[in-house]
Amino acid sequence: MREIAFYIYHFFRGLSLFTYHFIGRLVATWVLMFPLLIYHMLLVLKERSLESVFALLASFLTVFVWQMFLIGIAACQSKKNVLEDYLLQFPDSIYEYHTLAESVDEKVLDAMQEFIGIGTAVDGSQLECYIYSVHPLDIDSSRDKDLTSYPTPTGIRSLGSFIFTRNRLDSPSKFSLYHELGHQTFDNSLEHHIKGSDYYPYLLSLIWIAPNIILGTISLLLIASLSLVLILIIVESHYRQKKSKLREEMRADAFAIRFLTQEERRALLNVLEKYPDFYKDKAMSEDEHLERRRTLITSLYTLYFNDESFDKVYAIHWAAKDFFWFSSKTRVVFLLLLSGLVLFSHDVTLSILIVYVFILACLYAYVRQLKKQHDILFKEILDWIKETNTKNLVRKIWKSMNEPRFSETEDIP
Amino acid sequence: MHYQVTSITLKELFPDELFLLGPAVLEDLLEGYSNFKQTQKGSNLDQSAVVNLIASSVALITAAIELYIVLKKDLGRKPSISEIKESVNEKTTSISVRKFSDDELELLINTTVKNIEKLEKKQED
Repeated sequence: MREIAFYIYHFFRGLSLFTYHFIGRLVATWVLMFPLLIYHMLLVLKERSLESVFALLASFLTVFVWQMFLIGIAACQSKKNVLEDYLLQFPDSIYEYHTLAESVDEKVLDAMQEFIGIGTAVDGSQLECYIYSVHPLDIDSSRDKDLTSYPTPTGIRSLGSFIFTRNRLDSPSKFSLYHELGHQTFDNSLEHHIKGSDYYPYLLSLIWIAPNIILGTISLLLIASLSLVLILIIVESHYRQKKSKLREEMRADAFAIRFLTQEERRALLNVLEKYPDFYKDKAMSEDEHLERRRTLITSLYTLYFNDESFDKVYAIHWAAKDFFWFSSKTRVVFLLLLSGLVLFSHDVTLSILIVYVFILACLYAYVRQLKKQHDILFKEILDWIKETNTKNLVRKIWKSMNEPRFSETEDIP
Repeated sequence: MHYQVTSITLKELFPDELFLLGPAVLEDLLEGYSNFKQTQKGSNLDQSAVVNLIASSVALITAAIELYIVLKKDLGRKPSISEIKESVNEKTTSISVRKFSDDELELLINTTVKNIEKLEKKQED
């Protein structure tokens, strides 16, 4: 019995890791994270009816629509943040647009696309990352210290991320820029944007499945056990979320230092050693800050003396490690218990299917609404930048025209 | 002269710090701007530790230049480092001089005076 449990456990774990490595992070997250899909697959095997096949199709659609729903919410929030948190704070500046291709080396673009998993970069056009260098109009203009970025959940490919930097992009130091691009490369999971996004599918699956079960002693026990495991999954998710900031920063650091020149690595090392509080993040505890600092210094030393061979493995390791959670013991146990529940389920009827499709249609309608809202916000951002640039350019020209050409003491020739 | 001396002195004393901060922030600090706004919802690297230090250094170097000019006029000769340091300690209340240790203060004033003299010599030539 123990051996069977061992093999079943490792089958699920192996399946999730295999999917992650060979089919891709996105598919792994979508398919294996959503217990409803596995439940309906097993239901098709049990019932072998047309209705159960339709239910499976509907659950496939649910996975996509649910992900689109969460992504829509996060993307809208991200765009609102760009507008309210950044642009409206700095209205007296001129925003100069730069493409990714002209902002960073080709090897950085290659690495970004390698990690996102969309082939080799030819130019930056595939990556929708809007980079602006921000030039304040005069000394009275309010300004950001250096660089702020707003990543979107699906990554930089489809929905558009924003980076605002004070420095010109030809300035020698690139660590901040590469660090933020590291965030945009790795932190495009929903977990980064929506708390609890990784346990919602488990919760929703249980809410959907529980009413469709024939109640009995064993099925009640299974539901009770599932509820307990769900609590463990929620606790686990919160714990992971708490630690996610440190992981995100360390991954972005690991990505950034890979592309620095030796001169910049040396400068960064010197500054980190001189100022213990440099890059201290208020969202992190003292221990976390120390761990990050120690890792960064160690990696910089390694790269400084061994140049570039080591870091790629390191960064991939970090990226992969962060997604092992979906094959955690609690999740595998949840899927096993859920599989057992299939034996006690009602047959899929037409009325259940209609309710299912109706809920799905409502959710989809809301997703369409979110998409429209996102497009409006996106346009609003681009329009705001265009209008502000025009207004501020006129102000700049007007100011330079009104400036005296000769000082009072200077003789006019 | 203020801008030039401050810029040269900072680049001499904090080359790595300025390299990482970049030219835009340095220009702001040299123009006396240090009231940067912190965004709340975006992701960024907090460089406050170094920005604050450079802002304090700019204030101190500017004060040292002013005092050098005044003392030179009053004394009728070039003031010594200890005289400038004493005046900085006595007269500067508005700038955050207390952030620097005695050695750091001396190094900052020393480098500033050296750069003023270098610039004066260049102008004389």
